[in-house]
Amino acid sequence: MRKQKVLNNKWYGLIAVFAAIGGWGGFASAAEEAQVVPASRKVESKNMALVGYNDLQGRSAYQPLVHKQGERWIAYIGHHGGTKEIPQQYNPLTKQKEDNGTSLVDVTDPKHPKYVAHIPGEPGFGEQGGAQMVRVCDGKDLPKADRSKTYLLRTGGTSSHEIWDVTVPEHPTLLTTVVKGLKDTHKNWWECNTGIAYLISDGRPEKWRTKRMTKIYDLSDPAKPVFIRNFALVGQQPGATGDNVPEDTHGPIVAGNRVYFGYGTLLGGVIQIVDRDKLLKGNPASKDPFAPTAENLLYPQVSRLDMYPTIGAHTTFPVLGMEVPAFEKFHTKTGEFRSGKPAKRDFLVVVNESTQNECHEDYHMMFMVDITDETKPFSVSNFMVPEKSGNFCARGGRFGTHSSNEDMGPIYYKRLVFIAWFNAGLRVVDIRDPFSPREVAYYIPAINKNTAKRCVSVDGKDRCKIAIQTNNAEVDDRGYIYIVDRAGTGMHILELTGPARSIANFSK
Amino acid sequence: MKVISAAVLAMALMFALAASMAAAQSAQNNQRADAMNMRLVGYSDLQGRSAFLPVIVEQHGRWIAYVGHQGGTAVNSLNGKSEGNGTSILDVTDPKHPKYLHHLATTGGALLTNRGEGSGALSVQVCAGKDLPKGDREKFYMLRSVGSETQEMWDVTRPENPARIAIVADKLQSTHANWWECDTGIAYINSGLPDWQVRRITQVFDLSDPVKPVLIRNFGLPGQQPGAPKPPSVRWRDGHGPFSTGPQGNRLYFGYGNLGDGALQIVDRQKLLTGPPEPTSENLLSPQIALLMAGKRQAVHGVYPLLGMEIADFAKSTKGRVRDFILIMPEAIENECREEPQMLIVVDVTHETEPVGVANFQVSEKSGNFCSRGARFGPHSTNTRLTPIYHKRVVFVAWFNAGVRALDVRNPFNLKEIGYYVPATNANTEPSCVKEDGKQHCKTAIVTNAVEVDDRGYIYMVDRNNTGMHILELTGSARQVANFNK
Repeated sequence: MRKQKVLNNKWYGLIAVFAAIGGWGGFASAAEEAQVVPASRKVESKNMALVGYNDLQGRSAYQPLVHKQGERWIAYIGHHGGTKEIPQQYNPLTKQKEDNGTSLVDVTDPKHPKYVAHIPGEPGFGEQGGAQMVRVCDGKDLPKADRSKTYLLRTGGTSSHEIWDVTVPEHPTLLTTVVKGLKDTHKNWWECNTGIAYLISDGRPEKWRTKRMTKIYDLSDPAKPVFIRNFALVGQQPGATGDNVPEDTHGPIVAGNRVYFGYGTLLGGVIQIVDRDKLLKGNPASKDPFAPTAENLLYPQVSRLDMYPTIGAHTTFPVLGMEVPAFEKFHTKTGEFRSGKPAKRDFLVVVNESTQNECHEDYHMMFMVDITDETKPFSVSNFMVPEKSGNFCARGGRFGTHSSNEDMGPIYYKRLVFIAWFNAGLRVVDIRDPFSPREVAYYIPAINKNTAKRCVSVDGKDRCKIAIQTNNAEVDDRGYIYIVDRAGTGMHILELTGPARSIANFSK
Repeated sequence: MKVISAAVLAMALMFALAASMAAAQSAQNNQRADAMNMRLVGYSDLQGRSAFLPVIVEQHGRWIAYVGHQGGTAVNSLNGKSEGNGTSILDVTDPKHPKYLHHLATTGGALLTNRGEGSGALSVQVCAGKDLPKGDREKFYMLRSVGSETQEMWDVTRPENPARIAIVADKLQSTHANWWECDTGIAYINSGLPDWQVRRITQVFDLSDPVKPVLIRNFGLPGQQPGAPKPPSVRWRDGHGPFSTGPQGNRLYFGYGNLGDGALQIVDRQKLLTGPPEPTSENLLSPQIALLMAGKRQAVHGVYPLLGMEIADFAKSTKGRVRDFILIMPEAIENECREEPQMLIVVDVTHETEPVGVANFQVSEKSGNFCSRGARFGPHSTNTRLTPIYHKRVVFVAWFNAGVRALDVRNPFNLKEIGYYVPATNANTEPSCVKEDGKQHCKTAIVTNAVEVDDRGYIYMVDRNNTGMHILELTGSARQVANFNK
């Protein structure tokens, strides 16, 4: 018995060595006796460097968003709920254990992020608790708000959507509860220049046939939310019939007069392109333009693309007006494109979500969908991380895509997208030729003491491993890249280096 | 009279001048062969005829190439006579020395001096009688289109001396690429019928007895049938013929469209053959499994199935490791890239009711300055023969002025070019012209129209602009991708 233990410890050492040099896979089976197997304790990266780090109090993190607030840069991080083992994490600022909610971190100096406040969220594990979504707008941008203030729109666990006054990030105060009494929420969108918000909300209380649909509010005055309408795919409305109910809404992204909705996080994906103006005004031919009828739901729809059943449409990030270098010499007789000027094309970067540990599922990847002819969206290319490049299926946790950055700032837009790839960390993809996306950089943080285990059932028993679970990524207007971890590893602030950096537009 | 003569003379001089200028410019654009991992084995000039489609058949120990031609006339070197382009028949048993056996000329309406697809004898399909359920076991049969009007059946048992044995269909208004299943005799004939709303549809025939053609049904997309409201144009999602997986696969993959706005249709073969034949919208829809719209810019001209592909990158995933794909190709139409860029697209049809595009392949324009070489630049068609040497490993694509491109298709999510061959232009190569600011300029370039493989692994490419037929083989690392070690 004693001897066995020593042997195990030796294996641990060997595994750590092999993980460090990327030779992990062959020894995974040898380590299966151990209850918890640690993945790489060493950072793996290409063309990326760590600038700063914050442990986010060890909380499981979902959405980061970095906002310039006066002269300060504040990172808002939405958290998933805690785990059965650690339902609440300790907050040193209040000296109390708190349910995971929202972290506010001053990242003005990205080398030394300063944790300034934690707004507790709802009790509940994983996606059943916490406060995973954040959006932030300044009062000076919102049409009817206090110009001196900054507002945080967040989900309150699965039950509500709230607006907080975060003008002084150290002292957030609850301003309004937009809607409550729900049993599900998800990825919201808030237009700062109009105040229109698309809140992913439980549809069931109002008899919709989906746990996630879109409630559209006018939050131009954050103190006085005004409900506009409910929206979802045809077939999800109250009273609809048939067994083939489309998958739940995941979230929208707005660009110009279009709203790009993704439905189905991991399967049954649907991409829907919606005319924003028609969506907000409703169908004039209907007595009640917002009544949840099939006709009224179809009225603003420009098109929809059904992905195949085993992939979702988790994030649908529009990249519009791309000049495709490969098309430089093509031109049409009709003069639509002039000779010598690259044809412009519109795309959606679509990722779907890996949800099963250790590849017990279909491979989930990124797609580029050509929406130049927006009535007929057509997926034309893909990007995937080769599994073999890191033996990711044996590392533990999920391997596959989850989400992309959503910021459209000029440094990276139309050039690079940042994809959270769970145990493969952050992958940076050059999309300048959208028909041929290529990886130019990556960063997989090292696990640390906060990184929670991820288990699969083997012969009825849990077999657990500890691995990075990069959940979401976002960039700020200075070009810093923020990645956060679902397994509690914290927030890593990164920058591009080498040839990858020269693809970005830092020249201004 | 004199004035007119002078004017005629002046015009003639202008034409001569224009022609010599074109020739001068053409001369500047003469190309040398350009190749990677592909080597020329043999060559035939096909008598300088514009070629559409080659088919290679093993026939009593000989290997015979049948080449369908587009319209035009040329001297038949075997008899010294000028003949309308029809079908070239060659013995390629020794691929280094192809022997031209016979030219099956066209006459009448099929003999048009202007080049193009409405004349000549584009489509050619050959079946052995021993494979056909009711064929003469000793014989070989050739189904060919003639002009826009006719589909003919020929006995080609003796390729030097073919004999016409049946008219399958006539009084048509268009013909194009046909598909003939040799094991069942079912043929999908791309025809135009005057009462249908678009120029090309599919006529399904039972040709199990080649001398007794039996029409099973006419087929197209709902809205193309007689009596339907007039579509936007007679080219609206024109039928371009199917790829059949036969009774075992029970699927037909139809391509539609010629100039964008195309579609891929997946059809249940059995339902198509046994369903009610009257062309009502309901009956046309009933065998359809899925219809994938390709968007405004892409047509679906060629289709090539890659079914049951094991994806190496998914080896460790517990689900979705084996997948089905269709390669779809539009057709580049305009010379010198005066059109939308056309590309090959990979469609994942694992869940065949919901086909989704997943990848594409393009030849890099910059790699050969193809937009300024003259002629068309873009895909046209793939090989269609599924020999175990290449199937699921290498697909060959005819890419007009970029010649033939060999693609490693083992991972359809990431097609890779592993070889190419762009022949040299020659004395027969006809210049390709464009009009710019009211003036015409011409360049002489390769226009690889089609490619096919035989069961020995030789690759045959033919030229739309009369450059002839090049017989090729893979070399180097590309040859390792193929499966020659039987």
